[in-house]
This record gives sequence, structure tokens and C-alpha cells, in this order.
Amino acid sequence: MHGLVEDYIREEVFYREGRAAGLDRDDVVIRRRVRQKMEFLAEDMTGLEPSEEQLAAHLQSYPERFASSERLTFRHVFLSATRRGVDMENDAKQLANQLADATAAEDAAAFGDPFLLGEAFGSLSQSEVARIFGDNFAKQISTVEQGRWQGPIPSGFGLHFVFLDERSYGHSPPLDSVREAVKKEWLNERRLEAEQTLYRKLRDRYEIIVEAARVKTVRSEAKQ
Amino acid sequence: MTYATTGPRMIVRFFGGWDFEPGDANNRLPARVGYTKGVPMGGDLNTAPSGKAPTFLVAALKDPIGANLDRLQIIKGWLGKDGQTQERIYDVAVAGGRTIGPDGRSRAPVGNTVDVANATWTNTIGAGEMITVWKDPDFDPTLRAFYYVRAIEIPTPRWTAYDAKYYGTKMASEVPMTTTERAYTSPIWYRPETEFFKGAFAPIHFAGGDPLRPLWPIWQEERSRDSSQDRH
Repeated sequence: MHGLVEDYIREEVFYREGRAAGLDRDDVVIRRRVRQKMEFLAEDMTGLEPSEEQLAAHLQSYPERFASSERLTFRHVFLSATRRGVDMENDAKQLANQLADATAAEDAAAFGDPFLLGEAFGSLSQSEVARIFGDNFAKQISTVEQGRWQGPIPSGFGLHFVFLDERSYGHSPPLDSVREAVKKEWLNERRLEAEQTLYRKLRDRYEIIVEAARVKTVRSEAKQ
Repeated sequence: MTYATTGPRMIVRFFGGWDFEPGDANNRLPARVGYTKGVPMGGDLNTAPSGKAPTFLVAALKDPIGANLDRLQIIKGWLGKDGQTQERIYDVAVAGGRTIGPDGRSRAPVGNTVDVANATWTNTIGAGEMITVWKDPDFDPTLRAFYYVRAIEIPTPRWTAYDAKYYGTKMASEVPMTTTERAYTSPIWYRPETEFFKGAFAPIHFAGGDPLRPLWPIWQEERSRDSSQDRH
């Protein structure tokens, strides 16, 4: 107990003397902490509860934040750059003709080379496609038409002809299935609003003059 | 199935069994063959059919936005008769028509396309994908062993080269400016059959006396559970 009291007194003495000497003024950690406390005060959302209408309106204003992403189900015929080397482009032309006649996707994969991850991919989001085949491939496949062989689309591995079986578009979910997420987002928006309002109010008490950047002046001085 | 890399996202598959054949490397669904004939990385091989050596199906696909692969290696570790641990590296697949010598190594480097000043490289050497079947040429069924795979990329600029270019600085001469990124897998374990016989299959002689015995069914369960999860 004695130790605790001693420590408290010690802290108080150092704190008072330190503040008196202005040590808190140019300390970036203390400044940030104080700013954070002000923001916390402004952001106190206790007891704030959105109404059904507010939630619905929020969901409607930002459908993209809650929508599921587009998903692709496709097969590919792979031409391996490693296996085919310089012949790859010619092989691709031939294969394009072969596939033009093939309306069904079945067995077409056998025209190409084996691919370690397989020939058919089910319900992948664009980011999943990008992780496997790279960004460029993902961008290109998101524009292909459904139901016929198209390509070739290049990837880091070689060329791919793709047959898009299904594209399920991202859809906007009903409020009930995303209620918690919408509420969180709604509260977060109120929080940011409150913080901004307080900031504006306080800022208006100051006359703020921003001086033009002086970097150039400093440099030319340094040269002389 | 777990493997780590030094950064790039190459894909590595590794299966061990007793019956993999060279033709399995041409199968259109290597993973299916792998699970049918063997166990995946992290698995156990423990019933060596008489006269057979373990065989492995190894495959890797480069990072779709990364560098080509130089080679696949299997590193074998074993416990010698003297109780000392041993390790040996085998090159099992190499890009660019190089050969693997009778000692299991390919001494010829893959080459180097790194332009250090510009911190770039080209995928004009190496291979985008590699797959092979390998059989342990030095197998001794009485010794415990493990096998794991390294998939090694062609040389690429090291972070020091990117920094030097970005900041326009010069690195000291001892600073390495290129690197070979790699993936390394969990091992496949081999354990001599005799160690299991003691506990699992000779209950009359060892009943109650062998601490290994109660563990056997648990291992079996874990193994089948692990491999079913691996499929996803």
C-alpha cells in the first residue's frame, strides 16, 4: 500500500512539473492521445438505435456495400507455355477453329494440356479467379459471353479458352439477411458525422492561415 | 495439406505412396491420382510392401503473376543406423532440358535474367508448371525417414534491388541483389512397419505392455480425417 501511494505521488509530482515545463506541448504521442479523446467524446453513440426506415434507407443508398459479388462457373482448355513454347500461338489458332464447332463444353478440355488445378471451376468470385490466374485473366473473363467457347485469354501459365457455364450476378440482399451489418454501418456513419460536426464547430472559432509551402525557399537558401 | 513460401503464391502438391508410376504425371487430374494412390503432404507411409520403395507425385504451378520455376527438389531426412540424423537433396524435375545426374542433382544453374539496375526479370527461362513422379533410389525399409518438397523459382530481384532503384541509392558490394524465392512443404513420414507390429498387431505378446498400442487407431482416424479435409 505504501508503495502504491509513493508511486502515485511520484507520478503526480513529475506530471505537474513536466506540464509546467511544457513537455506535453510538442509531444506527438500526447497530442494524438488528446485528439483521440476529443473524437471519442464526439462519437459517443450510446443509446442510439436506428429505426426500420433508417436501416432500409441506408441499405438502399449503399447497395454495393452489402451485395454479394459476381460469381463465375467455367471450364477452360489450357495451352501450356512451358509445354508448347513457340508453337503456342499456332496451336491456339488451330484450337480456336476446333472449339468454334463445339457448342457443348464436354470433353473439350482434352484438346489442351493438363492444368494442375483442374479443368472446371465452380462459383468463383473475381478475386478468387485473380488469385489463381492473375488479375488480367480475371478482368478479361468477367466480360466473356456465356455458353460458347471464347478466347484465348492469356495468363502467366499460357493461353486459356474458356466456356462460361454460369454467371451469378451479385444481388442486393433483403434487409433481414444483413440487418446487423447495415446497423453497424449506419452507426459508423452517425459516428463520423458527429465527429465532423464537432470539428467544424470548433474549427470555426479559429482564424486559420495556411502559409504557402516554404520547401523551395529553404532549398535555394541552402544552395547559397 | 500445408506448405509455406518465401512470399510468392505458387501452388504445390505432394503425394507419397507405393504405386505411383511415371504415367501419373500426365494424368489430367493429378490430385485425384494423388489421393487415390497415396497420402498428401503431412501424411504417413507406414506399411512398406516387401521390396518396394516409396514413390512420390510432385507438382507445382508458378505464381500467376510471379516468376517461373527453376526446379523441384525432394529433401529426404532419415535416422541412420548409428542414430544420427541425415539429410540429402534430390533434384526431381528441372526446367529447360537440363539433366539430372546419377547423384540425383542437376548442377547446371537455370540462368539469370535479372536486370538489377531496373529491378526486373523475364520469364524467358524456367517453367510455368512442373510435375513428376520420383522413387527413392536409396530406400532402406528399416530406417525412419521423412520427405519434403522445395519448389524453387528462377532468380528474381531481391528487395534490396527494388529499394536501390526506387530511392536511387547504391547498395554496398556485399549486399545480395537477387534471390530465389521458394515454397517448401510439410513432410511425408515413413516409419518402419516393425515399430507398429510391436504394439498394434501382436497384442497377445505385448498386450498392455506397449505404450504405442492405444495410439494406433487414433492415428488412423486422424489420417483419414486430414485427407478428407485436404480435398477442399
